[in-house]
Amino acid sequence: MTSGANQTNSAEKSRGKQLRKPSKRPNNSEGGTEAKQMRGDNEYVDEEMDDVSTSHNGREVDTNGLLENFMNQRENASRSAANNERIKKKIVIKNFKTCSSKDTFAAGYNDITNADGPVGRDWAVLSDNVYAILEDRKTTSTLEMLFSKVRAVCDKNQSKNLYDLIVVIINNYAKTLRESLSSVEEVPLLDDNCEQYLMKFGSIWESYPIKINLIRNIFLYLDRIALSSTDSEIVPLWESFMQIFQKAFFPDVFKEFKTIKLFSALYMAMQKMMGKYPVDSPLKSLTDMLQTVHVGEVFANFLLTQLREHYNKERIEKVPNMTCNEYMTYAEDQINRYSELIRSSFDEPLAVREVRTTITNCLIQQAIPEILTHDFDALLNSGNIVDISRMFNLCRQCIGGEDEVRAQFSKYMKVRGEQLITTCPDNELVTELLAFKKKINVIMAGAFHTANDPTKMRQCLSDAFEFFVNKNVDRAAELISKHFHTLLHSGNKHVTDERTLDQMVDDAIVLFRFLRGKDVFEAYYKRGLSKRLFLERSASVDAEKMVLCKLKTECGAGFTYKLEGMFKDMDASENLGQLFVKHLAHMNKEKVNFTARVITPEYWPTYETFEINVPKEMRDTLTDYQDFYRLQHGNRNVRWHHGLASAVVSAEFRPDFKKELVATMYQTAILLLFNKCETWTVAEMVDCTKIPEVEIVKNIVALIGGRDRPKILTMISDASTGKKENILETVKVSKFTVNSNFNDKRCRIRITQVNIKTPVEEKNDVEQEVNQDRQSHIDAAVVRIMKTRKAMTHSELMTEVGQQLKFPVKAADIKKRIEGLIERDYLSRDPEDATKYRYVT
Amino acid sequence: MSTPSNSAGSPMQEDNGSVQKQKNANPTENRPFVLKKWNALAIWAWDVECDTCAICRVHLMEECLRCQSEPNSDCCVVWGDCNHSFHHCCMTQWIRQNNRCPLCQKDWVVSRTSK
Repeated sequence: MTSGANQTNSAEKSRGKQLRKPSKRPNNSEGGTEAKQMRGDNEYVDEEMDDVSTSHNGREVDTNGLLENFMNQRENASRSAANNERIKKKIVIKNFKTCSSKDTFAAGYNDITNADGPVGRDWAVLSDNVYAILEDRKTTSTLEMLFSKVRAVCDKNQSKNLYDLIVVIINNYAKTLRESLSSVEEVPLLDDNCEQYLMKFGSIWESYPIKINLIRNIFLYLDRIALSSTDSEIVPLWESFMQIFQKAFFPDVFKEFKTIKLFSALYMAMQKMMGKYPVDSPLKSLTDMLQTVHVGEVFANFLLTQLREHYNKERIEKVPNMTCNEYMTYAEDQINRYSELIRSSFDEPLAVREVRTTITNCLIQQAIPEILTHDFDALLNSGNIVDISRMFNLCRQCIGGEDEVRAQFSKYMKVRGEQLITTCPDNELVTELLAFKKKINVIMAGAFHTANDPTKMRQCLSDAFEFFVNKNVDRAAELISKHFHTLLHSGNKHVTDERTLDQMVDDAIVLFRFLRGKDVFEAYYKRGLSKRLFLERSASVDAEKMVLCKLKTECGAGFTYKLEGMFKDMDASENLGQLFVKHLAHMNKEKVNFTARVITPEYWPTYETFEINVPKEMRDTLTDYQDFYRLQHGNRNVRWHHGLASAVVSAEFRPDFKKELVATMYQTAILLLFNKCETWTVAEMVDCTKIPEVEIVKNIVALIGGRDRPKILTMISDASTGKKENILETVKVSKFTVNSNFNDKRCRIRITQVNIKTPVEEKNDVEQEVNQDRQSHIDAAVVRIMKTRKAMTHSELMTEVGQQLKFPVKAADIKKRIEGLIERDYLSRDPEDATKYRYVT
Repeated sequence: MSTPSNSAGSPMQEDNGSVQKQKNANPTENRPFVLKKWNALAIWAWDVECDTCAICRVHLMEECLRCQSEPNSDCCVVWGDCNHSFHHCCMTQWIRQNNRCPLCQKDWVVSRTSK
């Protein structure tokens, strides 16, 4: 259409010029001369040209009409009196209509077909020039002269005839053009000759619009003025010429477009270009032509049909044999290059979009459920953001594509996550999970950020993680909690600065968020924290507080209440310690290097404890502290947990060889025994210290040391006892003495802790603790609900409790707790309705 | 009032008759180990005869159930002249019906609370 529009513009300009000129230089006197000249010989025409074009239009029409009427009068003497009268009248008023009367009188003389008439002669000149243009000859007349002739013809009411005649000429011309194509038209279209065909077609078309435009410029007057005022059904010349071309070259275009050779040839050339063969065809000009002659849309339909067929075939062929990534790469390449091809040859955004949609539909939409199962996991595993984005963006454009990708993505995460959960050993699992999460994050941020529904995408991620993290809730809770312990432990060598730690904590918190058994996590966290606090192995108080703060934001104050309590106990103990020093001074007692921690049992993990014989060096201090504590808190008693106490002991293995030993209370008690006697047996130690035999044996083993561990004591092997299979059994029957050959470069030596629980024991402890906590949580929830509702049916209460509790709970357990509460007079059964409970106030 | 339960208070049984040999070598010579510094750990508990509240049957170290079900409650322990102890809120409810200690039936007189 663009070339058509250009023509119109230029026509408009020239017309504007024509109309403006007369108003500047009106020349009425020329009227008569002009009429005479029109009838005169061709040879004078050129000289008169200027005058003609400058004469006043309106005036000209009048004069011509007048002359015409006189001529008619002279030639047709037999016309009626009524007509005479009308003409006379018209002369008087100098304004009359010629059109209605013309056909009646003027047939013959003024007829265009009459070669002898003035109009006929004008036509002869015009047609001659038209032929000259069409046949590439030099025109005989100037444009202006031709223009004036057209005007003259039109003024004699011959515009319709003139129009028809031109159309006939162009029609014939188009037919000859069509015939010139027939030589190649018959040749069957092949890959290698489609270009020739296109070239030929291109050359035929090339000059057509130029010639047509020239011709139209000549008949501009006819086109613009005469026809517009007479018959609205007659299409403008340009339009008409294009229709002629369309009819000649694409006769059945609207009925059957598949057989049109040009279309096939164009498509073939495009396919060749897609195949990266250089194609030398006037593609652009031909597609322009299709637009100009109004078959562009038909061609577009044809092209889309072909593309659909082609890409459907490609899809069926490629999908089963390609991986998801390969296929997506292929599809993207095809879509992009085809769009580019269409863009450069069609120059219409709409067409580009349609082609894009069609190919995407054929290649992606139709392939979607299947192709996403072809090594989709490998694609995600690769972590290649470019590849993943490509896949996602292609699928995203299709209906349901994003859902499908999401489903696969979720499946991938679940499978991969479960695999991690089942295959990773305890010490690697959390690190692996974090690495996996990080990887998924990168994919989310780099490739899936364009999601149409980001909320669902995020939901899908957290659902998947929740699914596999909770596959084995207790283990996950334990390991994630231990991960925190590792992060916060002073032995953590990986974290050097605060920001990295912060980041690592944040990452771990994300895993924690997915965890359902948060109370199990808390139980383990408590154990880790207590170890860090008791043994003073916490990396920093700030870091501890930071983690607590983050846990608090995640789960609320209720969750961290006990953990914070642990810190409070530590602070309170610190204060008491200072007061204790003052207290001792006040009592005029010797200052001791002693600190005590007094903890609130409900905050801390449960520890079992034994009554032991405290070495006499320590005894007084403990009594003093107990008395002091009683002064501080009248209603409280303290109970020592020696298993968790520790000491620093200076050891002189031989003269002038002193070391400091960091030991537990039990170890200290054992070591201090050696101040009294050089050798001891286990039985004697048990007897003296009252520490259970198991503990003694464990600690002896630690004191004996091993290959890499300090050998504080040596075993005096008794030949008669012989070697027992089990070291513990051997220890039980052996004697021990201080290792006088002890050697170690370090000044301060930490003896292995043995009274710390094994993981299995710890697990059982935690399980028990969590269970107990859950029971009291159920109790509290039931009481809370009943307190507000006063009366409730059993089933109502059950659902409400289920909703309030944050851990999985069996209905039978709740029932049992309700029974217990009825027993304890918190609730009562409704005497009238057995299914109802009442709250007892 | 109960005696504080502890191990340090009881006399050390080093010279226990069952251990035959006299291990008390001269303390001044050859003492390889000297205690430099140490820290002990204790758990505190209310100084009570029975550590469970007889009314609600919840451990006195924990809040009573009614208080547990309410955030920010301030559950404390109350001792009577009879030296029996209960959750303060449990006892408050109890004496509305009966002004006697639920354990010994003596008239209930508050001796002290944990506040």
